[in-house]
Amino acid sequence: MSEIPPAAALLLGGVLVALTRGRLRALCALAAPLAGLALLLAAPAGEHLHVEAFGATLTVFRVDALSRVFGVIFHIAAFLGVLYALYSPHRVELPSALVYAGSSIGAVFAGDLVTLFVCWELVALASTFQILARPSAASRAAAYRYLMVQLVSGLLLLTGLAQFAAGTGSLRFEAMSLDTTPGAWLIFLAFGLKCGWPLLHGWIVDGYPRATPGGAVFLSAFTTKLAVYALARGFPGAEPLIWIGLLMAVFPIFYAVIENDLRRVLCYSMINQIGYMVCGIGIGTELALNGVAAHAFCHILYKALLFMAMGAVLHRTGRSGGTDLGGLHRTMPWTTGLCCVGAASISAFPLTSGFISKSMILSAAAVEGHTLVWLGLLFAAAGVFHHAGIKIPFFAFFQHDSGLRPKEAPWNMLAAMGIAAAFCLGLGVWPEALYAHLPFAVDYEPYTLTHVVTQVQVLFFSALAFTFLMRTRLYPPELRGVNLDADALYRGVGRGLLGVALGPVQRALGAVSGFFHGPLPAALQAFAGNPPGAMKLLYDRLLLAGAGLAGSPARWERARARLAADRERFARAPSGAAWPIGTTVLYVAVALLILLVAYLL
Amino acid sequence: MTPSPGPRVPPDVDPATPAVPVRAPDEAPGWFQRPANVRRIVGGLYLACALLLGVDLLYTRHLHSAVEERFDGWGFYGVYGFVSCVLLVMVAKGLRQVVLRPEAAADE
Repeated sequence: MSEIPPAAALLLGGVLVALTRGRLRALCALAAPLAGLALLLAAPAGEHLHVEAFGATLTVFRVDALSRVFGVIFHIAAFLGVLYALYSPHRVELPSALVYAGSSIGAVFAGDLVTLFVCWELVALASTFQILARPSAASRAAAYRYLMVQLVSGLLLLTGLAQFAAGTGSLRFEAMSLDTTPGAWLIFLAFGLKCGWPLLHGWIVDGYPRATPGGAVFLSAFTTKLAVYALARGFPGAEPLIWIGLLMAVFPIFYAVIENDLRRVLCYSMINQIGYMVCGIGIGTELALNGVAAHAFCHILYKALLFMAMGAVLHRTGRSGGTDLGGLHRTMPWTTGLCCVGAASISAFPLTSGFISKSMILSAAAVEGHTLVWLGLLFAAAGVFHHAGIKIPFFAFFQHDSGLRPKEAPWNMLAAMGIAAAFCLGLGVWPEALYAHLPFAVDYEPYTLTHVVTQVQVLFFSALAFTFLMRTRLYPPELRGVNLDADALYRGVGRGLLGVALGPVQRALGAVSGFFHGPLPAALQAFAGNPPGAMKLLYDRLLLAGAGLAGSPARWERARARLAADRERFARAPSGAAWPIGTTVLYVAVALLILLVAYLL
Repeated sequence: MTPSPGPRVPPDVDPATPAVPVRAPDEAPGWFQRPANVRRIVGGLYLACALLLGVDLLYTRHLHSAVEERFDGWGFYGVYGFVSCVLLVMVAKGLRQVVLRPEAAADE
């Protein structure tokens, strides 16, 4: 039994869902993640499945504490996502989502870089359909942009692993040092691109808001968290990650405040939350890495819950902009309540999941003496309450009344949100259930009086600031529009490159290709028509030049007369009539002989 | 929370969405829309913040690192949270002046 990797259950489920219809289809879709979870829980720690390929032994199914935590949460997320998207009108959505989840889980249990790469590419392909499934031109364009970025990440990983294997002789996917080979840097960058590092994050805020309601839930759970897992596995304690993570935690919240599309606000807050994890990986202590695993676990649940709530609003109203929503709590009370649970969790209120995980990373930063990092993460913690905890529920369900009175979300969406919310509260009340399964032994108590009071102070005073800014009308009003982000940079750089390519580069290439199309063939043709004559002309020219340099008018005059005579002869017999074929063959033989001698020397 | 005249239809509403029901003309305002209740909520928040500042005087904090001890003043976390958020919003407002474009510019 333990020989079967859980990913197989989900991939098979994806195929079955594509082939079946009606109740059977729903049953297959819901059973696949549960079967995968059962396979995972039945497998003890260790390496279970080896495959010989490419002249190497590949480890397809490796279970240890870190991969188990990510594997379990990926299965839970897959189940919730399937339940949520069960009646999606887009037929491609569910099968591709199961393949997407399955390949993400396959990547988590990959024991070597080749297996990781194969899963990495499958993730890229399958996840694109979560955006592509939505029938609009904007979604299609965004899906192709998304796919391009994912493929670049795969290409970096492939190049990196080839160099890494050549440099170190190992294909195993374990902690790597950035100092060993340039390949390690390429792998690092491949992970970073999928993780949404600053300036590499454009695809997240571009693609995710254009996905289907269910697609955004899957996307929020897998792609970036797979990258977090890969970084935690491959580069724990890599110093640059501390600063990259800090930037990720801080800069997106400014965008989140002014963004109108509430699902895009969630994307920014997702980057912010991943920032905590990346920072924790960079710190690299046991407490920090435990915090990363715990935070990824909790984050996937509450972020999925928030995306589900906004997806339900989109499903019922066709809108997701803050300007177009408001007052929905009157007819969508359950969605409102469940969304508030997710909002409280992401804000890390005591008794919710965010509180027991985010604080581990903050504590790790403080214990290691990173003052600036600690202050930055605390700032981001206040900011996340502001833009995700308050803004999301407030602008969707309360604020000014939009007059819309949509129906409550369908039962399956409510059920998926309900389970996610139960997890959020359950983990907050009973953190030991999660702590017992983290990569390292946990010596951490989240519910100390100090910790609870300080956290509640941060949150309540953030709420006070929101109220203050609203009442004084200092808070920026929601505006329809697009905020330029990293994609503007890509577009700028792209346009610049295009300008150079169409300008100087094209002119230079034109000149070169003109030479190859015009003067060069003409000269070769003339030469081939009468090689000895042409060579003779060349010799005459050299004589003329020599005479000119020597400064002797008589010699120059003689050389000129000779050149003129030969030119006349050349023009009279251009097809080689004056030179029998035998002579030409002789010349060729001499040329070949010269080549041979040159080669032997 | 003043009711606006009617739902505005933005240009990018998903065409697949069925018509969304709208507010009945004789609908009574909801609990959250009554100004008295909004005042209650805001008043409760003020009270909670005041109490939280008071709590700081009543217990000794147990800190586990030099970094936390350095910032262990009365009301530090409250002030930091408040100032962070005001700063966040003010800077974001400035950022909007630079980066906001009309929606049509998105898919040029």
